[in-house]
Amino acid sequence: MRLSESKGHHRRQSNLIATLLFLGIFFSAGQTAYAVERLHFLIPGGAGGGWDTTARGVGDALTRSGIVSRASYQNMSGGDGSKAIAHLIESAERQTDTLMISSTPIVLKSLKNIFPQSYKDLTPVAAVIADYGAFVVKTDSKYTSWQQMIDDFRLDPRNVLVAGGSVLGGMDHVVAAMAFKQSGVDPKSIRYIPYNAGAKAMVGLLSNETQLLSTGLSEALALAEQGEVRVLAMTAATRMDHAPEVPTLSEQGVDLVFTNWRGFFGAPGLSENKVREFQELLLRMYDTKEWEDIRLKRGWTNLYISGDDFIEFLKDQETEMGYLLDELGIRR
Amino acid sequence: MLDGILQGLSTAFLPVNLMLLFVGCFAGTFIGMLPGLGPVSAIALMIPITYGFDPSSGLILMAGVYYGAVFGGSTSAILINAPGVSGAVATAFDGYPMAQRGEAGKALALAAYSSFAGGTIGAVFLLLFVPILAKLSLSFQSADYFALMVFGLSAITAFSGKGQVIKAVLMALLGLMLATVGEDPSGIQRFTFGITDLYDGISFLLLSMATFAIAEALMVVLRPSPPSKVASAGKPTFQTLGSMKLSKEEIKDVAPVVARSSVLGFFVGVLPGAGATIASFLAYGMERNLASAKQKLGFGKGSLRGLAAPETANNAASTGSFVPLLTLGIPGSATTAIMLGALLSYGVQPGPRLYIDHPAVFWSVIISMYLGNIILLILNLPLIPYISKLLAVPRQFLTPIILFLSLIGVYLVSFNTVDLFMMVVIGAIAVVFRVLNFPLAPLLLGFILGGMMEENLRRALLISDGSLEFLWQRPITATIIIITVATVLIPIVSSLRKTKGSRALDT
Amino acid sequence: MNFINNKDKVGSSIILLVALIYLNAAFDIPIIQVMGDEVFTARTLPIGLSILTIVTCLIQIFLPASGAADETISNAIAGFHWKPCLLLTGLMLLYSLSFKIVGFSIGTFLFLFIGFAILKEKRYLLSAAISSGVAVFMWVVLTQMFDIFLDSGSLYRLLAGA
Repeated sequence: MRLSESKGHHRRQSNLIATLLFLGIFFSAGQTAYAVERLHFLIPGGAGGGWDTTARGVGDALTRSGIVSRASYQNMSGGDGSKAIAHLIESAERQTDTLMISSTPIVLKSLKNIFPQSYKDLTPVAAVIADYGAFVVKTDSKYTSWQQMIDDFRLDPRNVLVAGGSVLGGMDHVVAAMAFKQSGVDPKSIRYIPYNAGAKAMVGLLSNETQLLSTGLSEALALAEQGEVRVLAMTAATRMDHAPEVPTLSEQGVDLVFTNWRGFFGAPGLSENKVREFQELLLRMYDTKEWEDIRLKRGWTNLYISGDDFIEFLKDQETEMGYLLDELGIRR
Repeated sequence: MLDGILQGLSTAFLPVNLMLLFVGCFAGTFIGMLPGLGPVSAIALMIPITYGFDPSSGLILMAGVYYGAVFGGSTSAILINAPGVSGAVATAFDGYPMAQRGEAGKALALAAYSSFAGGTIGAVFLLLFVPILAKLSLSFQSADYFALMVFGLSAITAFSGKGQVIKAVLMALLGLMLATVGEDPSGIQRFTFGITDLYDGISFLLLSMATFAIAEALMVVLRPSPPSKVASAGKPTFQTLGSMKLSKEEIKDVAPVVARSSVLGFFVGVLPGAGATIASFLAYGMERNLASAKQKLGFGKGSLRGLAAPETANNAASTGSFVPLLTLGIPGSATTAIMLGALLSYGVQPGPRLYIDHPAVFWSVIISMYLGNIILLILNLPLIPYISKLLAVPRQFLTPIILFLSLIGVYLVSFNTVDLFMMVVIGAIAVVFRVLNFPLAPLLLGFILGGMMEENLRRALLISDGSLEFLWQRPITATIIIITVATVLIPIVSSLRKTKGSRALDT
Repeated sequence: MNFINNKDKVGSSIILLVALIYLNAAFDIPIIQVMGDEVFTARTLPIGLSILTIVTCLIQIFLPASGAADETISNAIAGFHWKPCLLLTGLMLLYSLSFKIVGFSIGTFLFLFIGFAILKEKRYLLSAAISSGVAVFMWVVLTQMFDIFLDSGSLYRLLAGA
């Protein structure tokens, strides 16, 4: 299954080339101090959440490095993000400086047909960072490889209770279901135990309530470094530079690559020039030391996908996840 | 370990850090007093400011802001019945009636002393037992949390006066029903009627501000003015600060409450699945259950014990919630989640290795918690007379300002104007229930415990494959269930004995 | 004491009505069978809760009325100032509905000024000073000190030509 293939392994080079090209354009365009005077971030969730930290991290890097002179942030929670989407559509004509942060769960929510409006009504700008799915066991777990766990699961599905920080049909569940399915197991037979946050699910694993945890790789690595857990497998295409000991699913014979992107959308009907301007300033951001600093501390991985590639990527991800939701009997 | 503590001490006592702690406490108190802006917003606001600070200094500032905000939240709960932070909701139950009685000064002082005691005892526990506590915070499973929530619900009877039990149960059931609005653990939308604003459910802060702050402000307008017609409307007693001093008897009366509540609060706070709000409700219920028949009558009407218990527990739990964060790297609440964000922005990853890798950071945070509590006490006691001047503002100005602050407080959390609309409607309904003499505190109790009760029950059932065995298979679950049954049955049995022969009027 | 005038009975009847509507809506909750035979579905708790509530309400309604004469509603609401209370409620609804249009500063000023007037404050100059003072103070604290984004409102944008 070629799922949500990121162009991750090529990203360094393409970034470099794009940046060089861009710098050329930028300097010939007449040495303005700032590419963009003012940037407004619309955050579909409350302060301190994943969307909030990403948007503010990007904004910080952009302002501190002088790419943007001023950034403002607007948190707008409600309706699992649909409130912010609706707001952006409603007030599109005066949102030309606005970037809305978004990520894979937005696609998943739209699939469940509960939103009146979907991300498809917005203008995709670019994905900026990526996280991958990770499957985690306690350090003293008897499982040392993905296959070993699957074998035990085959004996009795009750041997492996899977914890996750999302509801049924939410991202942690869907990623686990895909990985099990690609290992030749009926995804409906997984015993998925939902928690209301990734941290709570981690507690469930550590308190021996469950045997396997489906979560984000950056969160898992943070605790793995502390020696509390081990990562059995993760869903990137290749091993991570900063965590070479963590094996991928594909090298363990499971054909699954899954990327949880975080990126930005603009208001509907945003001009092509404006979109290009946004994309260019995000590309410039990658090479600033301010961004490197924030990125390393947060454990984020760069992932730049823009334009048609981004739209194509979103479509693929939607098809794959939709197919799985149908199989699980969750899509309405 | 001693080395680390010494290192932490010397870091925390650096003049710069002491000053930061002071500034943090002050800013935090101010932010916390604004309804709606609680510790989460306060810390979120500080993160960009502290960029580039040394990790210890940054975290010391954060700790100050955190404690300040927790404390500031109870100030607005006591003075205007607007618990701007969910942990301060139970503080309003008895704090506001005290202020109404003309004892605002005493209520604020008692809140300050209780917070100090709760926070300090919590910090000492943290200092002494850190390694064991990490294990404790992992000892609870879903079944145990379920039992704990049921135990909390058994406190409903504690919230109701004589002959009010059925009404209290009805309001708690209403709260439980409200808690089911929104997405359920299996990803299904319940009772949202296609309204996107309901998808995330109703927020606890919105509900408590509507039923307490808004409903109270409207009731003040609605009620006929007292017969003594003072030129500037409103009750004359309400405007007086009253003495700030607690008598010896009062201190003796409250001391055991503070001791019990800080232990209970701290341990509930250590559990990543519970939190400070639950702790404050549990402490309130426990004290009410332990109180003598005569003391029970005072609860909800301005009882010193009723104010000290939740206030102590709230602060002790806030300290306790640092245990899973610092020792496991797991945030148990929204506040510690944002603290984790702050830690990460300094490049510090908390977890079991934190006090090996960064002993100075680890211990200076714990020590500054202790110092923060002292500074808050020094800072806030002299401020009380000025803060309670707010009550001297004439009613016709104060009421609209309270309504505005409550509305804007809720807006600042979600930035959703539909929430404001919902809040006014709920506030108006709450006025109807208040006129009919139906208690609102059980509604909030049912609401906050209901959601977590269902979630944990469903998890426990999934894990046990649909069998109810989990109720007695785990010793923790079984113990809590037995305590719950005992708390519910003992008063019933004893009251039956007393009224044996006479007619049983109330339930 | 008749039924309509009894606080407990009227209150319980209101809750009974809510519980019946809730029960009805509970049967519309879809059930997804992801893991086969689940004992506890999304409907279980709502249905259980509403039945429990209905039974408790009925007990309260049919139990002999307790309490003295002061339990009557007519006594409780004697001398109530309905007008300012309803006006304030209406004002709050208006504030919440018009927030996006008039924005924070103008909306807050109007809300406070009208609110003071509803409570019979006749010193309009003082009222205006206090309302604008509070509105400006909060605006400065929130947007300038804490860098929180507040909607300035479409009316303001129209006036400012932005």
